[in-house]
Amino acid sequence: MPEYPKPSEKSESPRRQFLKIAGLSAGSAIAAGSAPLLAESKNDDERVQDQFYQISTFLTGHSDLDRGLSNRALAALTAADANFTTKFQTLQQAILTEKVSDPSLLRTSPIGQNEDLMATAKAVVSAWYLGYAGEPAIHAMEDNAHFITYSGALMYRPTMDATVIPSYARGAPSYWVNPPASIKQD
Amino acid sequence: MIRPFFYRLASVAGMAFCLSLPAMASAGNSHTGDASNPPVIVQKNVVAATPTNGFSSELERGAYLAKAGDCIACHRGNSVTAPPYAGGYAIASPMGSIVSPNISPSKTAGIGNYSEQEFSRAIRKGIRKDGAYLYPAMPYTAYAGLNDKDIHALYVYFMQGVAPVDEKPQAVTKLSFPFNIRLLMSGWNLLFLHDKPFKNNPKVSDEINRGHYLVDTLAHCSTCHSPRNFFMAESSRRYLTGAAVGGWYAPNITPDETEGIGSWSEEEIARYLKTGHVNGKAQAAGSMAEAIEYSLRFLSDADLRAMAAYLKTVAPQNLTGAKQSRFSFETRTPVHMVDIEPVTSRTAAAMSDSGSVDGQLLYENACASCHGRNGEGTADHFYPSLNHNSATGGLVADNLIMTILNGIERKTNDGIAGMPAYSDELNDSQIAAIANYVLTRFGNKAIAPISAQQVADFRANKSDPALLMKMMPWLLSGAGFVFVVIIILGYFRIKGLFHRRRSN
Repeated sequence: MPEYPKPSEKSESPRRQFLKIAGLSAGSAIAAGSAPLLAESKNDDERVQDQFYQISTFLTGHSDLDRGLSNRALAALTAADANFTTKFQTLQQAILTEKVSDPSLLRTSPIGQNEDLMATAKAVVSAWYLGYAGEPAIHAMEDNAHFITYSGALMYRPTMDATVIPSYARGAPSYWVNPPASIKQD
Repeated sequence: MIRPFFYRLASVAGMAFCLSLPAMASAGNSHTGDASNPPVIVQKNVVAATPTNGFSSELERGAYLAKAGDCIACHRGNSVTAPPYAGGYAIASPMGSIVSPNISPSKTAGIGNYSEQEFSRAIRKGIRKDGAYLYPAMPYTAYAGLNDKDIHALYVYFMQGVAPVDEKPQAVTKLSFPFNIRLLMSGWNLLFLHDKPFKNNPKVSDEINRGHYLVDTLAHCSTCHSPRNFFMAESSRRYLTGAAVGGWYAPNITPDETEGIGSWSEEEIARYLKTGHVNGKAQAAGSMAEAIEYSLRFLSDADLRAMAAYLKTVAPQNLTGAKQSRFSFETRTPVHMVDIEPVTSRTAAAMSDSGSVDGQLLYENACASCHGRNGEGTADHFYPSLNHNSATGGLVADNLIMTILNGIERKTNDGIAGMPAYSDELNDSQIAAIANYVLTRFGNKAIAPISAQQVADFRANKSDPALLMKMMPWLLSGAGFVFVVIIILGYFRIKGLFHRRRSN
């Protein structure tokens, strides 16, 4: 397993926090027989979630992504593609191996020649920007699209100063007749 | 359409029953006395800053005073196209509907035959030209303080400035017994109608006197904002300390810092009266929205400032022991994205199910698009924040529930402020769920959770009836009992007389 940076060097990792709590509640854990097993699997899940959060912040270039949405995006991507965890871990390993320091350099790096790796990268980025994973079907009741977020989708951020997330009000009716104040800086 | 604050107000007709027996005798006298001795016009109590300033004629001034008195709010027709002052608007009351009469100067259907004295008697004493008593749905207890000069201007306006409408409203006022006996009002008037014209207080400024005059007479603020006593008359001791009116709650507007509007500047009060909206404090809904739409927004800035200045001088009272101002509740913690956008089932059955009673889910779907997911409203305050809002921070949730049920439509000088009514969109449990979510998140968490039954009562406009109304069956059966006893006693007396005569 490659080494990867901790989500935050200052705060304790969720894993350590979990171990602490598990240690403190050892009594009840013993009572609950299966608890050690449970702790083992939870650690694995959390580790994958941490990894996904890392690759998400790297690929999107946003360091302030929501942890809860990140976990949900991982679940949605995994639901749409059962092999997704392996795929993104492979991509992450490749990024470390190739020492890609910025997502914009991905295409020109050797990773850019690998269609599978690029498809995985696109899946991660589009999940964050669109707010869903998988392919929505237009004319069918069932599809493999999985909801992540509506208003948290990154696509709304660039124009947030001047436009609304559809269905949310920005001001009084007809507010839009006046050009946005921030237009001067654009 | 119901003008809800009269729902409770109109039940004042009830109190007269209790007073009827002792008061009946003097009632007849005072009524005939008034008819033969019309009030003498005396030119006094004219406030220095009368609105004559700036008006080119008495007629114009009368038109302004009619606006200030909000006459049109009740004396309008039922349709939007009805001519002004045609009457017919039904004021709902627990005893039946009180239908506002035609007060256009029509000689056949309106008040065209009223002399100025008769006009004055109707407005200030609540007695019609034919001598019949008006129900106090007409705020004559407030108008009683009007000065003669203003009565004259109003008379000139109603006789010359209003087009006669020669058609009486089709509906008529039909109240249940005993409230249908208008004469009963005479007893109530005897006790609660203080028909003395307003007197200037020489110790305060002209502006404050002017504001006091407007607040107490034409604007009749205390009609809603003062609680009422057992007989449904306004309590002068608890002047402007807040009262429930037809489902809505007219809050404490004394200058108390926590319970009242002590934290408002005079400028803010005046702005509220003009627009019905002060950012981060309150918005007018229900009857207050109507008062602003039909009346207050037409008043001059000087008059609105005078009213504000006077309201700041009222005795501050905190009767409920409120510890935090209703304008100060807030939540700064933003909600978590994962919580407010839950992953829901996408099956057809799940998506067509509209029965959720999850307050957060309902808020996100019905409210957040305007009020924001963190209740922040829009930056221009057109859609108000639910933090720092009297509707969510009050001691009762009446106005919050009524607003969700009935929405808001308030025409102001800055355009229309509106919120859709959800009474047809959401059921009682759902509205209760939203109200509870809003209260616990943005408002006063001390308010006990709202039940679906409470919402149902607000929906049916079943506000807690006045004690007097609750007691009416007992009072009626009590009166019936007394009547039967008198009959029986009379029977034995007559029988005894016969008996004695026969034995003689």
